Amino acid sequence: MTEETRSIVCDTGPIIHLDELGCLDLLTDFDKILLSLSVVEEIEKHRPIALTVKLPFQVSRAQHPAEEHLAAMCRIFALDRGETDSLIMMESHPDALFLTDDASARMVAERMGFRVHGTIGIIVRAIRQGRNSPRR
Amino acid sequence: MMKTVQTEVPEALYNKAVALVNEGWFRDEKDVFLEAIRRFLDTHQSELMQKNIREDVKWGLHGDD
Repeated sequence: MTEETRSIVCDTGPIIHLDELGCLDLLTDFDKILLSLSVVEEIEKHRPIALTVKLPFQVSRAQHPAEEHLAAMCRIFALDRGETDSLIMMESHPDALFLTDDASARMVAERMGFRVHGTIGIIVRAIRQGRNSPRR
Repeated sequence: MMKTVQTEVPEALYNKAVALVNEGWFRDEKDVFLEAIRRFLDTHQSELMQKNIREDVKWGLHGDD
């Protein structure tokens, strides 16, 4: 794994979806899983058990305002708070990988030049690495 | 031709739509929800979703990380 992808900024969807599939452990090889406070609140609301899984979660409580271009795109694409805060975190960690299952957030991330993938990518990647089986 | 859809929305969401109407940005709440749905459908076209899945699978299978 390259240095750049040791950290991921994660939106709510992949955490919930991977946990629903019993696959949240597939994120264990990342050094840091950066979550915004709003994403944590969304997970606590919809799938609190996911936060009890032992993973290198790091919650960012200090959130600076989005850069003007990003802020405008988040408004245009009507991104919610969790998605917007995650993208703001990506501004501080531009070499990290952004995980989201939201098509709009993904579109904004791509336009910002961030590396972005979703739950399916994480599952297939784990099969390539021999940490998951196609049957599972 | 227009179709009529009856649905429930959270009060807070509805109030935001009303606020936009009161500020003069939209003619009425129906226009707000119509625009919101149109924008959502623009960014959730099946071709786009398929492209995202293809990219994820390609990265998953052939990525170097």
